Amino acid sequence: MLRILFKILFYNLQMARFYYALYIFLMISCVGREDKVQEASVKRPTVAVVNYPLYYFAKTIGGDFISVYLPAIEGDPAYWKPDTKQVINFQNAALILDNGAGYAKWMEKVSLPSSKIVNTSMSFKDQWIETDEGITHSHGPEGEHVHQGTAFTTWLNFKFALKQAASVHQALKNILPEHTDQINQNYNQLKNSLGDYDKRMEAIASALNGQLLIASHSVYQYLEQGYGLNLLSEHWEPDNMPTKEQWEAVEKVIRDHKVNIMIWEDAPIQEIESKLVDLEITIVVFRPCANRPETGDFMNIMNENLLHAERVINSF
Amino acid sequence: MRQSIYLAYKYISFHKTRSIVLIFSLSIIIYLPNGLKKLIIKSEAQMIKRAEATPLIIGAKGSSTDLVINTLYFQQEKTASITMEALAKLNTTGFGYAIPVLSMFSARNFPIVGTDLDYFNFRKLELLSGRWMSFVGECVIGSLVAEKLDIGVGDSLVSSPENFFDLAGVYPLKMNVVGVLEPAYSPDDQAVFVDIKTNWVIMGLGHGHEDLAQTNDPTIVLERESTEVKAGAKLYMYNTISRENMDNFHFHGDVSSYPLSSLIFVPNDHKSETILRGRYASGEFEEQVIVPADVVNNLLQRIFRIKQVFDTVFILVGVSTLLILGLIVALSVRLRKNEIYTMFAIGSSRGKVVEIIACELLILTGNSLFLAGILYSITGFFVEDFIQNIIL
Repeated sequence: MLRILFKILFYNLQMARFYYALYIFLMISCVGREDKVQEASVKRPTVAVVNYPLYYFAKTIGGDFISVYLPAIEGDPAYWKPDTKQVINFQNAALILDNGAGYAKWMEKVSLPSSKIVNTSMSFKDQWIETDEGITHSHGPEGEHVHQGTAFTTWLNFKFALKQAASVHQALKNILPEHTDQINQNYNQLKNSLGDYDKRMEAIASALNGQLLIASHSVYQYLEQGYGLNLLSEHWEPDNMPTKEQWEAVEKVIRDHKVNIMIWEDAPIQEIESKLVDLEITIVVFRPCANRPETGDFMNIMNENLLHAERVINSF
Repeated sequence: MRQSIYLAYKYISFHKTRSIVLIFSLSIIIYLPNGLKKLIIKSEAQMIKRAEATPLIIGAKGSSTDLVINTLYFQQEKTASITMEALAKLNTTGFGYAIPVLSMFSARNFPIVGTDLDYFNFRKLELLSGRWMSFVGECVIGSLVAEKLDIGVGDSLVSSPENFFDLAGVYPLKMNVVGVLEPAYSPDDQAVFVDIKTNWVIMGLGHGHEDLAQTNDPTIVLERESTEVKAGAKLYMYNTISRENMDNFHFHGDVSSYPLSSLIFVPNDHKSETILRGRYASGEFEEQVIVPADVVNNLLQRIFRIKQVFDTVFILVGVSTLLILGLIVALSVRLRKNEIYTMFAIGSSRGKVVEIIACELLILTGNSLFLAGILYSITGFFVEDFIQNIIL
């Protein structure tokens, strides 16, 4: 009888141990799963941007705390047109960084939540440069009007780029208050780099001393305004040979003003380069970098631009 | 007792018309004060709920009631407008965010509300089908608009012209329906939501037409110089915005000067709200700031003073109906004198006769109560109509 009782007791003890071990195992696996669920639920806020400079500023300042959405765009993002899916991506972002100054005209034609949009060039709105887009026309009772535009490659003036970065910094702090310290640190590094570039550009402008330069395209308005350059803008494309009339007009300017530098958005084709060399014109490639570069990043490209300009100036 | 009920039932069935009239008049007397009370309580609760859910309204100085009614209920009162600059200014204060509201036009008698996507988040509106508007020219409609007009995603809706006799006025715009909202049991169900920019196109501030620089038709281009083109009335203005002609749509002038009916301001916290209201009170801003709950409470207090008059009227009507009912009973007893005598003659007691008449009254009252109950229970469905048509 005692033996039977002992067996039952022993059996129950064994079972109790088994249940205890099973309980511990389940608890551990549950905790592990909970952690995974928590990890998955900690989603990084998406910041949607309209061009590459803002992508770079947001990525540099926000680091791994954010994911930055810049759609794959062919050509200049300023003239890009989104499809419905891409508009929805912008709508769903936690923050939409707009360049302002009339950049990304597509934003006028889509529906976005205004509370999420940050116009990064608003702080220097009074210094936006107005341009005339098209001809004066009239129809109906409203009378004559011309569609006014604004020059929008604001970041080419590094002082404005700094202000835009400051605007991105503030917007990111607002959506990620818990990471303020790291965001401040990242911003300060970017601020210092942009400040250095600004000083280098000031030095280049000072060396040029008001000398007339020809720009291949009218994208350098803010560079001209910010550093007191003297630019004459043409409408030439780096991969299209200009017409005879265009060459004649430029040759006249070169003769009249003794111009010896021409700024290009990208390296022109060999044919153009040879003809410019014949005219004793030195090419300075100064890429606006509005879209993602094939290699390097925004700061690399701007550094290359400045190095190129510095080399050309030192060679004179 | 069963026999008394049977006899009372037979008597009522025999005098159908009289009984039906009695049941209806009694049920109306029972229903009216209770139904109206329910309607008023529910309307009051609904109006206060919507007003309290809207922290602050900012608009042009003038009637605060009109401004609140226009913003919350899209009743298109003629209120002065403010500009987009006010929105930009508010958003730079850092106290919260502003949602634009522009309600001036309608489409097939439903108000067109120009706003942006923040409005849907703020009101916690969900989509029943489709998607939110993505491009200018698209609209999202309330559930009642979809139901009453029998339209849905993929259909279109044309804005109504302001004035049929104003031939040079605003052109109607054909809007594409891209989404239908889930019922919210609020004025949002009866609205056609568009992006604020679509509303400006309807107003004529933005428009689309063929590129004049590319047009050579002499009947369209009246004069052409190197920097100037003058077009005639034949120039075709697009009345629908599609992906094909979207590039030809443009706005004239400075968008920051474009009009808005009002702004809904959502402050970050109570402190931000107080500081902002203080800045308005100090005259820092041109517009007025309104706490909608205060305005609606004030409005309701004024309106519901009439309820007391109604209550008195209903009490008097009720008393007179009861007196008439008593008279009808007394007269019918007198008319049924022979019938009652026969009942006595065949051995019925006085108590039994009273019992039969009481049963008749009970059946009539019971049916009246039942009918009044049905009317009372369906009253809740008309709260929104009551608010829109009677209160506002």
